[in-house]
Amino acid sequence: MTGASGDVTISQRLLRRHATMRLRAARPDLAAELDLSTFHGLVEGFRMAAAGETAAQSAKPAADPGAATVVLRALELRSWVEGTCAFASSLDPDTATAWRRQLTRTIFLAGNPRNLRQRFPAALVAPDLTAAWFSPADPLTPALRRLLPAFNCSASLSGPPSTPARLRLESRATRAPRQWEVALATAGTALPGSLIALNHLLVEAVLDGHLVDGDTVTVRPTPTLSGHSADLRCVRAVPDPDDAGRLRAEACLVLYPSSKGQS
Amino acid sequence: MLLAPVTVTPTKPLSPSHLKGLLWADVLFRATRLVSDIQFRYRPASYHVTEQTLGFWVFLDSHLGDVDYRELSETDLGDLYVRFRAQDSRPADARLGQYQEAVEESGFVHPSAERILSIWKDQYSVLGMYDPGLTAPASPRLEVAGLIERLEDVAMCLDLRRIGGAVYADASRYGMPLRQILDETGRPNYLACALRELLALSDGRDQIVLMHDPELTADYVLLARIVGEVSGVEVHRLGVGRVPIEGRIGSARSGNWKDVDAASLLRRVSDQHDTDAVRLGCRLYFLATLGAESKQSFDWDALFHCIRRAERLLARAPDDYGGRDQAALAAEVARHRDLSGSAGWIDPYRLTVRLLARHQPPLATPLLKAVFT
Repeated sequence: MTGASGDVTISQRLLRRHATMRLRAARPDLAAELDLSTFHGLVEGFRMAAAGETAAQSAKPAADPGAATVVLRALELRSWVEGTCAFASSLDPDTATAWRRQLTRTIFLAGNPRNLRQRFPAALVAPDLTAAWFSPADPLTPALRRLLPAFNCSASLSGPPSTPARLRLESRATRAPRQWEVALATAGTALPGSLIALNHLLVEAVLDGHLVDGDTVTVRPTPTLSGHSADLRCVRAVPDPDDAGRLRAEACLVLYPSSKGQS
Repeated sequence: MLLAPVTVTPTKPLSPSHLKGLLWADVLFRATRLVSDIQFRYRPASYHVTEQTLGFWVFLDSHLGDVDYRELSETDLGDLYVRFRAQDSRPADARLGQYQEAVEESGFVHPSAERILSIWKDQYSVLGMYDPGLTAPASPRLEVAGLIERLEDVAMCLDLRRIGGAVYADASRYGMPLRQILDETGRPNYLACALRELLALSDGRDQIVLMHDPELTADYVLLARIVGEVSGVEVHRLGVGRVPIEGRIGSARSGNWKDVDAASLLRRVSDQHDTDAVRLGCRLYFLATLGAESKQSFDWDALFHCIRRAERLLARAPDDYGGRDQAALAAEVARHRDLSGSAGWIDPYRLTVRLLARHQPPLATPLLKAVFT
């Protein structure tokens, strides 16, 4: 699987490994109780994590830590990537851990951040005012969700790679800046679905310390990641909509060859 | 001043709820014009472009084909409308788009709507209601692009069309939920049509009175806020509740007009009473008896009681003001101004209830003719 260059190729085995790593990081308790080496165990683990269930009792915990909320007026990809990563790095450790246990669940709403400023102060607002982020711990988010509709549209992300986003994160970098690329599988996926995939990949890469202050990230849409071969550091794998018995790569974080000398 | 009630889409017969709203607007308009400058905006053609109406036309053309709609009554068409609304599927966007284009660009009106509107015109005439333009072309209005521009000028628009999304009216800074006004295909809904019309008509006015049923309150609160913000005009709302039929408030799509549609109603009351008594009696019933908020179900006995009362009122009304003139009539009406508006329209409820006051002199015939018959 690993070539001389350090590149790896997307395969079912690789996707299973990354999905398992993701669940272990989010819910070590479930990882200890379930046999994640089986496909069934893995899928069950994600279901329980999404439902907020614990292994001991299959019931929802009393306190729902909630999801983060992103409000979008338009999509400016570079600005959104920068905001997404800055937001993740700004969360206090307890909120970040609780959010992680929810598999970094995030709700996307359509709205104008400028119009929300008075009533709903956001944790972070993009400088171009196209997006605003609200913490999963924000007590105002239920009211916000009653006010704004889901961010819904039929367009899909396609075309050339985005302008590189330059990350400005709270955590101090302990290494030289790197250039990253997010390869995003877009076939059959509309923009809202792509944002969900990108969001999970980016915020978890920040929380796990893969992305640090000063790094740059380019998003490169491609129909499929099947057979994709690169220096993959994070992979987002979900059950394949065409066959629930296998996984599909939605997005992966790739280190640019030019950055490798610095790793 | 501009009076702008919610319009009834010409896809079904007029129900008691519709008659109530129309009579409230009619009394308000005819009384207010005696004392103030008021324009009555009511153009069904401005709303033909909504999916509710276009979809029905597509349905009729595929189910009935080329027929002479003069052979169909408004209840026949209403029954077809109920069938259309009960369908699970909606017409293809491309098909709707062809009708939409014809409506927007050449003022196309489907013969089913022409048929219903011509029936309504006759019913208006029997009831003595002012016709504000049932069959007239759409009022001058903003193009969709112009509407979006005006809303964007005041940061009250969220436009996701560039990424294949809808367009929303955004009054979230006032704590109001975002409301879609154009769907993903760019088709305006009722609220967008109302905004296009009202923003075009509001220039140079100081006051607009909106009338709607309580089910539309959220939309009308939003509409009032936007029109006020964009044009600076003072906007008031008047909610007039629907009339339950046997305890139920159903929407037109459930076909709840059986035997109480306007044609049946007018036939039954006109058999026994003359025109002026029917006109005044219907106003006494739908305004004074039911009031704006009443939950009382439609009641034939109460309606006939009002018509008999109307006969007595008409019989004892003085012919004139004892030598006084038009100014006396205006003064009588002006005492019933609504106090919430600075220009002050006439409160149709208070004026109608005045007819029934036992210890005040009866209103004179010229006033009854000008406002109630």
